Amino acid sequence: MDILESVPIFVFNGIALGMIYFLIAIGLTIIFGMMGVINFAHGALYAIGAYLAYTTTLHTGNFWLSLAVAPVIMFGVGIGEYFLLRWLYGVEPVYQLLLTFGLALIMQEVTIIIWGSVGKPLPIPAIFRGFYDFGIFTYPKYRIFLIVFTAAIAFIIWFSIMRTKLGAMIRAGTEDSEMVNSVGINISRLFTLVFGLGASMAGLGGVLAAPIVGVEPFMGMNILIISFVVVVVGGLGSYGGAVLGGLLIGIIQSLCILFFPAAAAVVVFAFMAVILIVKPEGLLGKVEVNR
Amino acid sequence: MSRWLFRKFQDRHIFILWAIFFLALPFLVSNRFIITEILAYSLFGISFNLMLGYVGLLSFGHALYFGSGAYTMALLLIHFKVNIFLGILAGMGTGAVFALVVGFLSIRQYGVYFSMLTLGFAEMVYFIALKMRDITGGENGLAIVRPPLAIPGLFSVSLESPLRLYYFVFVFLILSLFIFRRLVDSPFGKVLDIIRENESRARTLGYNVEKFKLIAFVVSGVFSGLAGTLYCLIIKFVHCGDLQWLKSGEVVIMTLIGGTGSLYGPIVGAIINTFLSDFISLLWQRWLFVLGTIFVIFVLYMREGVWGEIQNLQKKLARKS
Repeated sequence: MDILESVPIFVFNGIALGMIYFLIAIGLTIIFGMMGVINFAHGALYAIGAYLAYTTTLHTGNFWLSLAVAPVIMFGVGIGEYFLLRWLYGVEPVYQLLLTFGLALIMQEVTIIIWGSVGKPLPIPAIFRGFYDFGIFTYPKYRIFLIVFTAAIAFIIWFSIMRTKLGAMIRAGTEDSEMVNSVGINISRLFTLVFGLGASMAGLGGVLAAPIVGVEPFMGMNILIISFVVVVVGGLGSYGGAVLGGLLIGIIQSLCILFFPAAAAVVVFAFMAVILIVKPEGLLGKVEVNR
Repeated sequence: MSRWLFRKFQDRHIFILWAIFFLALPFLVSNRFIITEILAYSLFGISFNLMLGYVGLLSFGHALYFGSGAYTMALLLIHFKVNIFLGILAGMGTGAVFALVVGFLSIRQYGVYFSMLTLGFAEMVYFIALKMRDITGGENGLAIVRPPLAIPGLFSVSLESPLRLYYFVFVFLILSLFIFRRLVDSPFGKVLDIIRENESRARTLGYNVEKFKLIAFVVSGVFSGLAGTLYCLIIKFVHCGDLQWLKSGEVVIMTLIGGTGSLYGPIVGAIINTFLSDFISLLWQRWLFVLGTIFVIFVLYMREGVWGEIQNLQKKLARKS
């Protein structure tokens, strides 16, 4: 097959990948926007989500159940993490980062203790096996489902943030959380909710990625580092930045696998370096404030 | 007497006490391999803490400078059979170059941004090293033959004796510690203090904050590279894991457990980390779980670390007597 004919396939692969990155990055970026904390455990939450999908499918034979189970459980885990973080209220921010790193390590070790250190494959759910034929190229059904489903999630998140009262509070919280508190909104409850939702989005990302990449204990840290690239490129704290950054990094990575496989792991970091020099605050980021 | 003991206990005395402690250590602990490892890790921790404790920036990619130093030593030994001192110098140079490049790209960023970028760039190099399997040996790594301690034409001493190797590394640790002491007490170190405490004031006073931070970062990279070369000589082995985030995480963990507030905290951290990992990994493979839990407890309750608590205790006693 001609290499150019496979370009659309790899672009679609990139979009699918990018949407997973988006699900991780959106939690990272909004939690950072509100609390000034980068959650190093976000990758571990993604990994646990994937493992929950594995276990649910193994025991019930129903993959779809995990789409509900994992986000709910991860919501709880996220809230638990937030309560630990609240312990460090008023302490230098670097300790919050350190705490999330320690939790990430613990979560990773717990997944190894429960599920073992060897990676496992997860079959693609029965109704999405096979390919759709688009005339010029064919494409796996499951990835089409993934793109459509995550696009719907992305729309719901966008709508909730931009068009609802809760979203207005969250946006206000990223601007100035003290002010939000002083106009009578329970900021602590809002933080808890956002942390829980961010965690459940990471868990959801894990569930959706599992049939494609399988599960293995270190998947969390790997995706966390790519998600850092995504939020740095897109601009930390911005919804649009998470979408744009996710898709850009996904597509660049995927096309690089097609054209120049040796550099696939490196090209996104090089891209990040270029962005840092040209536009340090990220593509859609606001001017960096001194935190 | 006790008044004198507690109050006039100055940094100089602590330095001398540590030197005596490490001089005597081989005769207190039978496993000389582990205590030599502690020396290398102490140096790594001290270099790392120059950034965290003195500049106030958390680098999450220090494995890069450590691992690249170790790799430089290993590759030079394997391909060119270089002199030991040349290998060490080259390893320090590699650490400096990587720190300069990464520092140039990320030093302007604040707080979490800096941590994310240093982690990202370190992982980039890790992935490159993993791909270049023919050169780096990938996950399987490279084994080296430990070169003799030699200056061509003058002398040549084998380092295969554990005790000799220990004191060889010891000399480097003490020299580095001495340099770090001078550095943090120098006008340069005082400027770092100002930057950490109040960066905008430092800027207003006319200091080129970025330049100071970058210099500190490169110094930190140089000595991390040195620690890497020594570590490579100790375990006679280097692999891609030495460049990976877990290595960076390990130095973060041991530095915090030891205490970030002074030069000596990371030494305590290195001792605890090395003994603990060695001890627990015999009983249970998932020792990282235990280490992670201890780390979280320290972050929540004992942020000054073991050494910080010891110093607080000493101050309390000094006040009482």
